[in-house]
Amino acid sequence: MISLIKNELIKILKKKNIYITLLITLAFMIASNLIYQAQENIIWYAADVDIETYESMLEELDSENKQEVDDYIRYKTELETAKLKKNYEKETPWKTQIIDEKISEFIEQMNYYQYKEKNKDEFEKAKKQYEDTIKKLNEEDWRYFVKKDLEQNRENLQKQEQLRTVAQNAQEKQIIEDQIYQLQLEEQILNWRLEKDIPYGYADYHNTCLVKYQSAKLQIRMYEKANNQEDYSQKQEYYNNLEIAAITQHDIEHKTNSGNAGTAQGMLKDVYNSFEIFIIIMIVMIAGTMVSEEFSKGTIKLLLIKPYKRSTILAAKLISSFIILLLVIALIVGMQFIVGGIIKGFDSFANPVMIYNHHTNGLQEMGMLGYLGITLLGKLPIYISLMVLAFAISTIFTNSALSIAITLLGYMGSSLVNTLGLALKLNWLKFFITPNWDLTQQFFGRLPDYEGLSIGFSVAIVVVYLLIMLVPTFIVFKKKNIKNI
Amino acid sequence: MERGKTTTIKLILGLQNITSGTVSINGKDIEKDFTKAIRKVGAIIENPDLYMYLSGYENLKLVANMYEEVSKQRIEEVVKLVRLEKRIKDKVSKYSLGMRQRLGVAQAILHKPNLLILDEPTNGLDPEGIKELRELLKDLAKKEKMAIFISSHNLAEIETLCNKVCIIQNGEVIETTDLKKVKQEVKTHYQIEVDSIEKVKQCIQEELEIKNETQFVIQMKKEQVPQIVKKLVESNIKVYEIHEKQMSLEDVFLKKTGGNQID
Repeated sequence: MISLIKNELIKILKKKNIYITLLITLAFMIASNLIYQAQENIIWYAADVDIETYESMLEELDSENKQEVDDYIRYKTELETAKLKKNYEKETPWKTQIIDEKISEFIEQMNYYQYKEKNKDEFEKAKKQYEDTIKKLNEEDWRYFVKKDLEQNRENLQKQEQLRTVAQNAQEKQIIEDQIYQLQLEEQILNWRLEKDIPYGYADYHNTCLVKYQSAKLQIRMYEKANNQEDYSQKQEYYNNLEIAAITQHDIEHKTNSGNAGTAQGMLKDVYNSFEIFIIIMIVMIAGTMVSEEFSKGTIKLLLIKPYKRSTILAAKLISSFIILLLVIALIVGMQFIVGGIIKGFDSFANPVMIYNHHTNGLQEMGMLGYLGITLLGKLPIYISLMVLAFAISTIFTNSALSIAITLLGYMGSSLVNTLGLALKLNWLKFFITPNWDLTQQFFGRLPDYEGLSIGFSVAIVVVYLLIMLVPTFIVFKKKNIKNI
Repeated sequence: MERGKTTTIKLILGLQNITSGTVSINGKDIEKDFTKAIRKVGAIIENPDLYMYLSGYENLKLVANMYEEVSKQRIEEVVKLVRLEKRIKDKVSKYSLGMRQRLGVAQAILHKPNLLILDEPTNGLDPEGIKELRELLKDLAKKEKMAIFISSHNLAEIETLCNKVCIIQNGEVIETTDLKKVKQEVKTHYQIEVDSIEKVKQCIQEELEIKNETQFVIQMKKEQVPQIVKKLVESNIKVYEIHEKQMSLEDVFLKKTGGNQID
């Protein structure tokens, strides 16, 4: 048996196609890592285009014309904001945000008083505010703006709290309490900015954390106060938000990147999902040709007149393809480790992986290797089922093309079947293999797509389907007449 | 084409299910005790099917892995026997058909089988390849002391190689016997040249095969030759020449199968 497995491995590893596919995967991997990297560096705002558009629009408008003056003011404000942003384009992104959110307001006031009201005093007042703000901008003092926002926020909060005491009925009180919760959240975020040194910005990870934390928290509160907690999809959403809130909070408080998909660690954590199709193509290519190619090349006759039972020969082939599957996964994980490390630096791998555990309602730390291992266990049913499907078709019909095509189509169709089943509320589909084969959906107390699954149930379903595929395969192979090949 | 040769071989090797009867090799039933029965058998079925993307040596190594007793020295010994030493590290896809056939023989005899089964071993080989293979097989039978079982439609080839034949027609065995015996059994043909065939017809009652105006062929045993000559001379027929026509296996085959066109 062992020598048979050894022979099968030699036959596979001496073929070129597996290496070609690995090379293609590597190229794809490098590209996707670079694209992620580039996305972070792209400046999303194309100032020059805006400036040109607004200039050409202004040329057609007359500030003295009463009907056009409103448009004139609007475009002029846009134009000046764009020009200002262009000046600060190369600097830190918080300035752009301040210009957009604060300074453009003053510009609009200035233009309003200059062209419409023609009020010199008000214009000067607005101009002073504008110049003060620009000064702060040049002093690199983003904390000043945070503090100002914080003051404003506190004022609003006090106002709402006063309103609450005089609220007429429960409904009104409810609305005010929602407002207060939002303002408290806002205050929390502004305080975090000061404490954890997070300036305003758009695309950087900790700013997105703040945004995500805020919206997750609001939705959690909404779910907890609502009375439709029985709805499964709402509950899934709620579970999802719990995870997001916990991880973003952790990352903000510790200034870590554990939820950041753009780091080398984040890319590696997601490696099974990002490169799933490559893993599947490779294993299907091997398992789907293993038996049928021996038939088409005639070498099956050599194999079957050796002193081994046919079932032993077939089992050796199946075990070999499983070994190759593990090898392919190890190679892909290793490749992502190296490619990600080279492009983004290896330091992020040292951080522990943070996982939200729904059983304990808290975060759980995990080593990178442990995380990859446990996720692999959860994903293996997908790979093994498709491998066995390809293997079975290849053995029964002795046709490589058919087995590869059917298996890949089945894989593509699986997500379609799953979503269709969910959309049409066909919960009996949970007895089909595809809703069950991704066990990671259920790890750490997560809620799977289909209601009423458990890990034990899913494993049992997968095993049953594997047997349904394997038993006829072995019988057919045992009884097969080797005719004219 | 379908006479049943390849099917017979596949039945012997357990590649096809046997519907009636049994096959046993070295005393073991091929269906009930497959692994033991097949252990001492080597075979090439139809073409030497090898892994083209592997080298000759790698192909042999794959086979060697499947038998515990095959050592490295044995591989080298067999490579020498089939005279592939120089090209054994090359990929099989670069081999000529003759070389592939020889490599096929090498992988079939690697585990020292006592029965070597060859199906149409000379198919597609050039005359030189055929000669090489024939010598190799004769060598093997002597040196490795193995029984060689060959199926072929090329009767001349069988004649030079074998000492036992079995004739199959439309899936049925017509004859199984020693080659020499087969040829002896058939009456010898004599071709006789005389001055006039007309007179012969009158004096000889035996069946004649008339070739032309002066020659005819007659079947008889050697002892009968003087009688016939005497008869002819007494009838005033001039006998110029008598010679014995050698029977080839092909003639025997045609006789046995009733003269059907062979494939």
